[in-house]
Amino acid sequence: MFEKFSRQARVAVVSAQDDAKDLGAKQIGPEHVLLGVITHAEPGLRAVLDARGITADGVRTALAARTSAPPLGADDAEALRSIGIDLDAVRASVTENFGPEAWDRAEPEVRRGVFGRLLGAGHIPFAGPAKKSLELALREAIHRREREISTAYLLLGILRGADPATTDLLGGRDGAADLRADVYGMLDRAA
Amino acid sequence: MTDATTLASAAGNPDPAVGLRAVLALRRLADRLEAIQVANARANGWSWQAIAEALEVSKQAVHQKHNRKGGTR
Repeated sequence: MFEKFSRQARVAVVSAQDDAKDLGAKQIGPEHVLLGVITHAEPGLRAVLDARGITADGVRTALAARTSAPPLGADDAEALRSIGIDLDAVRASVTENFGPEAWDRAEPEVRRGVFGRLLGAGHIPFAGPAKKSLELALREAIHRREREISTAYLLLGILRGADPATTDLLGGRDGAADLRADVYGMLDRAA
Repeated sequence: MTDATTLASAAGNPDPAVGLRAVLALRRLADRLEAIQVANARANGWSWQAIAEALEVSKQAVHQKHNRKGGTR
């Protein structure tokens, strides 16, 4: 399948892996592929994204905010409270002794198996929905009799996959539908 | 905040969902504290060997888990 990808589309997928890793994700999700696509969009798609104010920085910031809370979120605090541990008190003690950043800086590293370590930090797997979005991108391209899967088709695949967490980044269901229409329009004009 | 009886009943909660969730949260908390304390020990000049002994794990285990590229953490 990857031999059909445009150069930029390949770069986008590779960059999705790096972004997922940087964001501390255990798997590459469609949201990371989206970030790769936005970062490396070909000019036609770039114009569409710009017109809608969708930027790599914006998506990255939203993703970072999302991943910085858990693990040890509200659910954990509640579970700990049930066995008599006050998470806020623990956090306060750490902050008092090691400074306010210590708590977040100690975000546990993604655990890797022995093969993961041998391959270096670079290898985290694609999550099911991310794979699905790539398959759907291929399908969109075939449907439009396009030989090459460009970043625009990757985006269409992501939109078709409709992963809720990813759709949220694009202004929810309505935003995603509008964006899809724009991309089709752009492809029609280019054809 | 939590009185002794609440603690006693929750810690041995017969509902697996509640009990297991508490175990998961404890593990996450332990991982977080371990990272903070190992970083502090390194900052204070402790060797990986000494840290490993304090945690009662192998030196390899503590090294692999905490010695990141860039070193200081």
